[in-house]
Amino acid sequence: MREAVTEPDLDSMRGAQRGGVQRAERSELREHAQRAAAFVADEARTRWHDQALWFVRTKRDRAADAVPDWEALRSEAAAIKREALTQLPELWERFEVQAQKRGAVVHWARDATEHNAIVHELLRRHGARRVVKSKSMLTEECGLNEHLEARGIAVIDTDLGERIVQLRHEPPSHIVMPAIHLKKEEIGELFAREMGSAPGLSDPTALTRVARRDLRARFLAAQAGITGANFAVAESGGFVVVTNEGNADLGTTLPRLHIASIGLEKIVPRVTDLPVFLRLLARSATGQALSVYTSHYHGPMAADREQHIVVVDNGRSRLLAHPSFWEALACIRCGACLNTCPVYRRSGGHSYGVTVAGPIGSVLAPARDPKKHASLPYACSLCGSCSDVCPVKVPLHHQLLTWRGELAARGASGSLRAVFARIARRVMERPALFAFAGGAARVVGRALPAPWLARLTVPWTRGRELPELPRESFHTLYAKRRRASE
Amino acid sequence: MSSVSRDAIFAAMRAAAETRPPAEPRVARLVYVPPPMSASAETFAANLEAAGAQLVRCEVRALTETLAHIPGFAGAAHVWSSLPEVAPRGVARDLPSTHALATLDFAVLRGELAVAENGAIWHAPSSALERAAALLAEHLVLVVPASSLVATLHEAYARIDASAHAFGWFLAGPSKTADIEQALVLGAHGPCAATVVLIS
Repeated sequence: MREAVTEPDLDSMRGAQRGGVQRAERSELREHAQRAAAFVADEARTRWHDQALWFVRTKRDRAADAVPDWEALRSEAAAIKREALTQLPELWERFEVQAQKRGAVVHWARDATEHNAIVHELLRRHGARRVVKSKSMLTEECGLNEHLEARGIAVIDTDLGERIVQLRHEPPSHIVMPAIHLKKEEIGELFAREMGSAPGLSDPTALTRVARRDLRARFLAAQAGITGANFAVAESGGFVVVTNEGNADLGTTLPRLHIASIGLEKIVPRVTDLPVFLRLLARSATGQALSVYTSHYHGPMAADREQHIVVVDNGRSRLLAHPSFWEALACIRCGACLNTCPVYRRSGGHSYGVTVAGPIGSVLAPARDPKKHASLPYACSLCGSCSDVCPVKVPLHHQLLTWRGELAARGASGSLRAVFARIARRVMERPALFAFAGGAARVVGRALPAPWLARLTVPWTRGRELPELPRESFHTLYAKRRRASE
Repeated sequence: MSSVSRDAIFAAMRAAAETRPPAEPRVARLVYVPPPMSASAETFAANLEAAGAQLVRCEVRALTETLAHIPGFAGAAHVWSSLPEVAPRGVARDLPSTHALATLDFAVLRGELAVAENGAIWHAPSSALERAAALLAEHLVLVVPASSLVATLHEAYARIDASAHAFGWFLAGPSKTADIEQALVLGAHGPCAATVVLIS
């Protein structure tokens, strides 16, 4: 019954709605760089995407700079998360007891299949056919929408960005800003088709009002609300959900059934740990001092309401057992590493082919399926900016480098890369051979036409120009200079 | 299925500790203490403005008059009020369903505490109805004692009991989104406007 790999294949999901030919093509596009090729083909759009995310990064910088104890907060948050991750069994036991005291029902799901079955059974028992969901990367990871829709339950994503990508039948391209890859004109066309708005409408305020009207009706008609959670608190048995739009709150206030899906890594020990994370989260994510709605749930609000909590493993305990990558579970999903990443900004979230894109996604995905996601740790220049902005100090770029070594050792990093690495190692181990190879490369390189390197199968060299190769090596120049100064 | 899954998850979490290097013990400090920061009304006002809300200050006896000056309030047909001194309009306090509040113009609620560093107000709704009012109203008004102002979120959690009620929230301005090309739009799903009245 248990499946080893439960993450939906996003390539085939996207391909499915565009026809079989594309699906066949896409399934071969396994490498990040190849998937990014379509995105970077439109240079103006790539620049626009890059700048939109850089704008968010600068807002984050201003917000962080305004907090006098920012670095102390990061250290504290990092320490609390690591403490929590080493005490997960004790914390979840405590949580379960407390949550049950508050009248919530706690369910346990080993994987996506069990999670989806639990949620479906709850909805079926309540006769719920119309469900509103607020942004939850976990239910996205589990493929919950598809599971429920196949069983006749209408699931409406209610975060504006999530709704936009849901109507386009594509996955979110960013964990905090799901539709960051789209232009307002495209959203206008979509709303004209799906919500009957005036054709040609592209003003963000007007479009938001159209969606507000459409979704308000769906909130009022919903029979159940599904949310994720940002934090679960062991000592109180409660959980916190943060949004700006108020969608999670409407979705849990109007319907009487609330189902919250929470990943194993989301737990913190104490209520007083919350402000440490909340002061970091919104500032890191969008540059706001705090999100508009920071909602604390401790059981159902009234006797005629039900609150169900589904605690989900789905590969998390496996990651927890890994000597290097367990720290990635500290992630609070702020998206700061995506916004600052030079590769993410210029290649778009869909090029990663996984639910969580960017640096953190490139660490998490290979743990799920090393072969399938082997190219992701290479979608990185090792600049280290992700580690610098991470509010919980996940050593992201170190982990990406560690992955490269692990994947190579497992023979999963691609045959061409392995061959190059073997050759490079042989050459670098022998100084004489290294000097000879360098000299040969300078002679051959200078003789070839300029874009020669791009003709090799190294995709990131496309669109770049190699500086002119020097006539002499550094060794030679250095030796000459020393002789001259003596 | 559930107890089998539960046992398997706990076993997997326990087993993980054997392959992972032992974590460095955390310095035994249970509550983080931030450096001294200002709990000034000016800081609060600036952060509230950044969150897209308006701030009004008045004395307790001038509350009714102050509310009347909020644009649209005087002529509003549907007003929810949780304050005894503010009369509701067009809605009963004991409605049978949250859905009856779908056409609400204003919700006037009493906030418990204000946070200077982010402009947020702590509020614990007494019922699902009151919570729905805070979400369905076009304009949210939070009336908060000026004496409740604290500098940071840490102090806020020290004063409130966030787990005392089935539900409680920090509210920081009107609902908002920037999901379309990063353009900030006030009024995503909840209120399009928010006003905080600091009472002295």
